[in-house]
Amino acid sequence: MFLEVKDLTKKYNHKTVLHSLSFQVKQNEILVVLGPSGCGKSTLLSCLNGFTTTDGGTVTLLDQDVTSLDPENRDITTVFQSYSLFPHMNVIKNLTYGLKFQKLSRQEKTAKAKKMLHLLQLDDYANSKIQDLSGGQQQRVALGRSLIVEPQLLLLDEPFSNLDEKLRLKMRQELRRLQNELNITMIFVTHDQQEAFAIGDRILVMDQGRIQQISNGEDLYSHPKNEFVLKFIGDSNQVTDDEYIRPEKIELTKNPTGDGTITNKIFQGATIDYALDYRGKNYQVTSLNRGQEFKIGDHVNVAYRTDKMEG
Amino acid sequence: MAKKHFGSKTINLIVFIVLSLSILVFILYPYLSIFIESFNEPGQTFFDFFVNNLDLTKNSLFIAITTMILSTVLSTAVTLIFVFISKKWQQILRLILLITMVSPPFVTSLAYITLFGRRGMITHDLLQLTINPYGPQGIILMEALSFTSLNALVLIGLINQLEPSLINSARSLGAKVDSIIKDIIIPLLRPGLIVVALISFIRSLADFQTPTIIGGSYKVLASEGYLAVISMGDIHQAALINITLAIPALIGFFLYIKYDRIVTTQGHENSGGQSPFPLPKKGAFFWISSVLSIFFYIALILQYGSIVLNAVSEKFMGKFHFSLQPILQTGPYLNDTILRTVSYSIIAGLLGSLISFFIIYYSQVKKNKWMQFIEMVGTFPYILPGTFFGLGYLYAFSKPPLQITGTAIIVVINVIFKQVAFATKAAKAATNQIEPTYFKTVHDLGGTVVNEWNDVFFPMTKHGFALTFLNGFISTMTTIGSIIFLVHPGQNMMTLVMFDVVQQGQYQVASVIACLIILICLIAAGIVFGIINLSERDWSHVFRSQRSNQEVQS
Repeated sequence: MFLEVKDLTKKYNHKTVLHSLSFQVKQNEILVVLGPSGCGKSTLLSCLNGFTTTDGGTVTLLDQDVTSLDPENRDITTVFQSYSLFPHMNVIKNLTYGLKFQKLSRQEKTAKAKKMLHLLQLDDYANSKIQDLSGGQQQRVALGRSLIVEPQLLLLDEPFSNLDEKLRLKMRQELRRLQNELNITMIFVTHDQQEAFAIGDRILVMDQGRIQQISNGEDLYSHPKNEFVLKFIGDSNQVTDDEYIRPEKIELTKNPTGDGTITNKIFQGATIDYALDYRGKNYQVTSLNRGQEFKIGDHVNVAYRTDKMEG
Repeated sequence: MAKKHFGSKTINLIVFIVLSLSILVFILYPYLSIFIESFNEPGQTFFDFFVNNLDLTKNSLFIAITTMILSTVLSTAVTLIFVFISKKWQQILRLILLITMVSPPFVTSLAYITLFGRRGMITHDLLQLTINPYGPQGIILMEALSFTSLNALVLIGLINQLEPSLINSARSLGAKVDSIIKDIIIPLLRPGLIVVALISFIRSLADFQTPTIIGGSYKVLASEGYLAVISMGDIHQAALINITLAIPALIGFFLYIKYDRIVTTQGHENSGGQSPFPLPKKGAFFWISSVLSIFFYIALILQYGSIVLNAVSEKFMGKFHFSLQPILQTGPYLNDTILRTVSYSIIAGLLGSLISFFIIYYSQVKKNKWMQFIEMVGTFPYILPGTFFGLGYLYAFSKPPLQITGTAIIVVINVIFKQVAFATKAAKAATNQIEPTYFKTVHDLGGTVVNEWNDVFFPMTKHGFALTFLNGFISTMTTIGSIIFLVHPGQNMMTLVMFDVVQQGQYQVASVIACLIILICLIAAGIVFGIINLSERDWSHVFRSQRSNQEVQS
């Protein structure tokens, strides 16, 4: 196995923040670690890149136990949320910083830097100051600085959270493009499920220092293993302890004598959210906006199918 | 790879050990020596001394408390004026306050004597009076005046950090100027006011020069402690006096730490809202603080004007004439003293800053508990009177294994380690600007501790380092208390020469030396700020985008 994490445990002052985590990452895969803030995902990342000591368990990268190696001796690099680009160095100096610690000739370094600049589509910015770059460009330099040392594993800690919506979408595609070209294995931490779906080959859902479920996006949505995953990913109407209905799976048809009543309506653009009163219970319903809307107070017929949690 | 890291780890270890040892030997050990030896030595016990000299303690506390109140009121007035005036005037007044910080501490007393003394320019020449200006009222007034610049600068710093929206929203709710000051500004300044009051209290207790020069027959602990060594050579007596002084100073300091923490943590960035100042010039606060400020600035002008006048004139037939006589007269007093003082100040500024930044690297960046203790030890010279530190050196280094009293090196070491207290504070502030992931990034990409220093820590704190150096330079140029017992004839420092000639009544020579000290400090400040401006780059953009995104480790 490429990366194997086994029984990883971390405590802060007797409070366990990682409960014996075990998972694997395949070569050339992007694993997204998804969870609410405070779930332990940043701590997990620090255990992997070596900035936090562990209280149990092992991290094995390419059959080498790296659990107690210093960060500088691990073949793992990290893109931090804040980029941490050195403000006193220009773009090229930042990019090639990690190459200082490798035995490379000047020509080799320049060649690598040129290639990376091209890959990042920053060819004209080699000598620019960091502070003259836009947020998206800074993000790309940070990414390039971690990639240029050709790590076995790249960790990304909410790297796009400082960017605006449009730029974030673009950077997701960019990251996938780079991944395709460089074939690099990545662990990507985020709290944004859209981002997780867009980037991850597999998604590890975490809460309170425990793995809740690991799977691909589709499977997580369609087959949540427990209530946390159900509630965290997408919206849902819980019917019984282990039965639920996704809002888009409820179909409404207009009928003046129907036993459902529309009690509220929020226009979302492509979709419309309704609050539905049906047999004394409230439901959330999402319909595609196809020009056939309901008004508050309309009576409707309700059709749905319940799903079961597979815990 | 492992081999390369071995070198870095060795350097790291050596720096760590040298730092620890030097602080323990040159700061902790001298202080401990005073306590141990003064309790073991034969002679008067501490208790006997204390009971027999209650008057001294009473006098010291009386002076310190009244000075504290007066200076706090005065600096509050000087500060409040800043909310009424335009940016341009703020800059001018700030500059004036800053300039007054670079003079030797007893310049005020020197000016006081030349203006109001028995042959003073104002009392004698102008008003034809012969009054006795010596006594507690002079001490209190002079100390309050000379502490006000620093106090006001601390408070003005806090005013600038106030969240603009607080004041703007109060105004939009209909608050008048007086209510804004009373309900918002003063309450928010409160921890700062307490800090300023405590600084004044501690400084007044430790000040021996003002009471020596203008106290007349009024005796306080600090001046008696000084005289015990200088005129009686009674180190034991001096130690007892300094221990007595240390008690209120320590109490003051523990309160100070408590409030200073509030002040420093309160200083969040403001949200970039519209600046609420200047406020309309009305209300009782405006008028009261205007009157007090005008009094303060007139006093400053008189003070520096009289010194400059004294330095370049001669009185002839009751009139002042321009003359180089005072400057020529000063020559023999100084000889090579100027060069020595400047060299010591440069060394103290550089090494003091370097030591302090390394301490902060370990205590702040690496969160090393032991180094946090070392940092705390390093602040002792800030708390305790300067003479206490000097006396400690006399005790600690007058016998083997480290017998260095009487040498030049003991003076240099003393001024270096005296810097550490303030320099670590400044280094901390500079280091807090660096987002912690920068250090992680170095290791993440394969670098070591030495790369952290070379590529992140020192390059990114270089402005802070330059300012810390400047502060160390200026405070060594103007220091007196800690070295007065250590300096031997032939190795004099400018402030000490100045103090001597003031006591001999050579006010014109003293004025020339005061002007020289101020001039040298201003030139140094000009050079340092020039260099900073030349290398100025706008990093704020980078820093800001990052700080707003720090996530608490989950």
